[in-house]
Amino acid sequence: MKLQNLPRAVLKLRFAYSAIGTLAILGFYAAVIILCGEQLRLALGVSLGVAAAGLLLLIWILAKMGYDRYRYGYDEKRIVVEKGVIFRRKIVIPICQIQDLHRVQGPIMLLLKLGGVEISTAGSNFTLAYLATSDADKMIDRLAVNLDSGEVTENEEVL
Amino acid sequence: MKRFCKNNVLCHLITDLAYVAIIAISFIDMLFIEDEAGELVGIETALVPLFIGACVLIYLAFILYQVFYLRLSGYQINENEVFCQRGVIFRRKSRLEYSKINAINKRQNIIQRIFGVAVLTLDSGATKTAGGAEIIIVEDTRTVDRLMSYFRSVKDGAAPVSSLNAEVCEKPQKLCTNYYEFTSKSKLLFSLINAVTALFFLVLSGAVLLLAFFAFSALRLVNADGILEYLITGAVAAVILLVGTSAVSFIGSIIYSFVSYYGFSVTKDNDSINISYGLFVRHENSFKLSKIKAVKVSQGLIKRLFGFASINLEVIGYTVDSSSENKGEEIGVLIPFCKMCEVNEILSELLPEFKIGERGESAKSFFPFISWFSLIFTLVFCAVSGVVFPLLFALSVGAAAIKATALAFALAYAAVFAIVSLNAVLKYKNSSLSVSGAKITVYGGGFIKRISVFDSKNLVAVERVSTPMRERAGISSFVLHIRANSETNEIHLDIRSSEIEGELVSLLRV
Repeated sequence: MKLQNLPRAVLKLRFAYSAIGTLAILGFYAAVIILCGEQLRLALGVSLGVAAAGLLLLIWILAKMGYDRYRYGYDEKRIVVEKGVIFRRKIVIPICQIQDLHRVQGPIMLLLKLGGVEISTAGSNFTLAYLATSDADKMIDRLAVNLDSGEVTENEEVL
Repeated sequence: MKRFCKNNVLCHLITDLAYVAIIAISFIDMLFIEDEAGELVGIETALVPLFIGACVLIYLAFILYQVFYLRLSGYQINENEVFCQRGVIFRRKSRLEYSKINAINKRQNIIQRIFGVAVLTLDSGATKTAGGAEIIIVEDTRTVDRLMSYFRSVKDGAAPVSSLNAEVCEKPQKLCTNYYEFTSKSKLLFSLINAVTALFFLVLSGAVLLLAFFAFSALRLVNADGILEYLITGAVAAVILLVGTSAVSFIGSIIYSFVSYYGFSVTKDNDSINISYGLFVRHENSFKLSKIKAVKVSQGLIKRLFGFASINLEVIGYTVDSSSENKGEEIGVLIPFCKMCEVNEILSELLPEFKIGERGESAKSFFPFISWFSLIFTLVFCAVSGVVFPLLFALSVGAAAIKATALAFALAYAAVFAIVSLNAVLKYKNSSLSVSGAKITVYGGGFIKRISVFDSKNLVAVERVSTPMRERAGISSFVLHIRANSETNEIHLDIRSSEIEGELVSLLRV
């Protein structure tokens, strides 16, 4: 099965999330520096500043690398997802184990015309985040056909 | 639609009274007048009627809620399904087809037993509704027994609706063989092991507390003699606390095992299994053997030292308390306490298809079990130290206090590292996989050793987890996702050869 990368818009989305994270970290840092006393300002400013700078660097690098490493593919039998930068995960989900499929979209995802696909099985739920809306719809349609035509296993318990 | 049993309101008259009493006790100090020294000098007489009035109002509100609950809730038994409606503010209507009934549980606490009320829950096992059972019926005990018997038969498509009115035989499961007896001797042993386990973890946490106490004392007192005095006092206090807590834990555990597992019985009835236990809260659970997704054998550290184990079942809907919102937190018990060497013997009688497979190859390498924790913990430790020590210098707390804090930090680091290393060694030793036909046995866990046995037809997904270094070394960890409660459906298989991925994926039904 040939695995494909996510659309470029996903990188924008990841950077948007990183920017929100950056604002939160900088806000927290500024609040601590303003609220702490004169005596502690230098010590806290340096130590927390180094930690905050490291964290920011990590957020932006992981956003890019996470995008590069995310690949997915599916055929009439299974879905395969590969993701993760430090901990690399490869998930294999048989189509016949899928119970239902959902498309999920947040406000930024709507703006960027992206959508996630939530896959529910009888045990775990998996999310394919994120695809172009049209790809997500196409995937759901294709998988739905296979779900309908898939043979019912003896253990099918209509969970 | 048939309403729930009226006696349930009477049960709530008592339990709600207890809740109101707790609320009243929490706020009763508002009535007392204290002087500046904190001595009691009188009672706010003007507030007493208000206080009593508020308590009565709260009690009435509780009762009113129960009355509304009774009026608005009920159930209906149709030809192919059961319908249930319940709730006052948030109302819920549920329908469950008989063919989709996964687990049937009966629950009855001591007050409900006095008033002859029982709660029957029917669960479909759907993960989407894993927060609670779909159908809850509150009825008198005889009706619940009759309904239980009825649902047991109709879920197989056997009994017609008319059979609902048939009388239920008195305690039908008594006629079947009880496969396990939890004797008083076993309960005492079970309690002792629980108490020793509690003591072990108390000693560990006591040591950490002592370190914290040492650091705290060091910060408060700059002179070294004072620190030593504080340390000795702290050590004595910790020992007294440990002994006291262990005694309480032992007594508590005895009471728990005798009360919770009172009259424990496991019986088989054609293709169903029935498990009953409990004194104050009586549980009667029934489900088809085919609904069992996995068997999990667990051994805590102390249990393992003495060669004991417990066996639990992974059946969606059968948990410790299926009627409440904490469903799925703890999986259902099959055998609460037995010798490890007897596990396969018990399983071969009860569930032969879930007999534990022979241990396969061990984990490929020890280093990955400890490497990530060491790295992250050291980084966090350095980051915390990087903030704390500059602060101590900035606050000019003195060299002695800084030295003592540094020592406490170092000891805490060593203690945590030692505990995690021990857990990693145990994980390394425990990890194993055995595949025999369609049966998969996964050995794992650290302080608590877990053996999971399940059929490959219940495997819903395979997840490989690796890192760049592990990829180069050709090793990976795996997460096997099984059909089960959403909190317990992942079985971890640590540090194996990456080559077994193909074997695991081939076990998936596609």
